[in-house]
Amino acid sequence: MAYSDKVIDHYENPRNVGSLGKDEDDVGTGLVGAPACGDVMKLQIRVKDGVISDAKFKTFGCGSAIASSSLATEMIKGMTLDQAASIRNTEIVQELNLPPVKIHCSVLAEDAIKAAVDDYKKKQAARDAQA
Amino acid sequence: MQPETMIPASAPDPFAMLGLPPRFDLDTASIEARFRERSRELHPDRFIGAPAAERAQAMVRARALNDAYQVVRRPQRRAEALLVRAGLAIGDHERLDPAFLNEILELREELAEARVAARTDDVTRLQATMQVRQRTIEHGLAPLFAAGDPASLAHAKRDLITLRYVMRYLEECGAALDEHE
Ligand code: FES
Repeated sequence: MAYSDKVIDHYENPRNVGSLGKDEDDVGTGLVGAPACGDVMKLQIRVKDGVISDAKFKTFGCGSAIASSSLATEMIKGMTLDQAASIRNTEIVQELNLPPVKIHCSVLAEDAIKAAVDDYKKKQAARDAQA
Repeated sequence: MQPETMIPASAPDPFAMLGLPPRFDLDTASIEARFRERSRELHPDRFIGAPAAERAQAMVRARALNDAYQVVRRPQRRAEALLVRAGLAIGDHERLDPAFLNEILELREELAEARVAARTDDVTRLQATMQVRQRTIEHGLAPLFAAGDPASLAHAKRDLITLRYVMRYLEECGAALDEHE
């Protein structure tokens, strides 16, 4: 199958690969899997004053999943939590020109962002409850 | 709940196509025997001289029969087909135990590192561990489907979702080993 140029670019030069300290207070971690293929993705955000200041990912999946998560981390930097959580996989599909069989790979990225935002919010709530 | 209505039109029930009971504990020999019998009925030779439309239809049915056979003869796919019948099809957004996902992620990472460094021994070790898991899950399926109650089926579903990640992992192990042969 032919990948689009954008997919190849993000795949060959993925942005923001890596990890943030998952136990740090200002980090949210999203861990998701795609039962369709058995691949997994981790996406992490660092939040400063309600805005995502940094994002990292690790994806064990196909080229489209790596490109989707690379693009996702680029998109969400500078966004508020709600803005990030409202990103739809269809935006990623469009931007990367993914074919229908690769849609679940972009869903992985959407779910990972949501899971990271959720994790961060839960952490904050737990901290507020303690304070 | 009406399981039958859950089956998408594009995927007819593979057990019905083969004329086999929808059970997990089917033996390979009888599955194959049924497949051969049905295939003979649809064999192109029987349609020589038949109108083109009929021939084309027989071919479509032969292909569908073959697809059904591929599902029913493999324990993993047979089990998943039974879940579909029970209205428990594995979807795209199944929530998984985060500890399990984390474990798979770490194991994938370990495998990726071993692969890049061409440490074949490590790849083989990881593969062996995962194969044990595969077998454990596969052996557990028969009793769960034999019981057939909702709790057992839910358990089977969880195991089958896990199995997809396990099989994916083994695929990666295979690819890594091929590379360094
Ligand atoms: S095929 Fe698994 S993430 Fe794309």
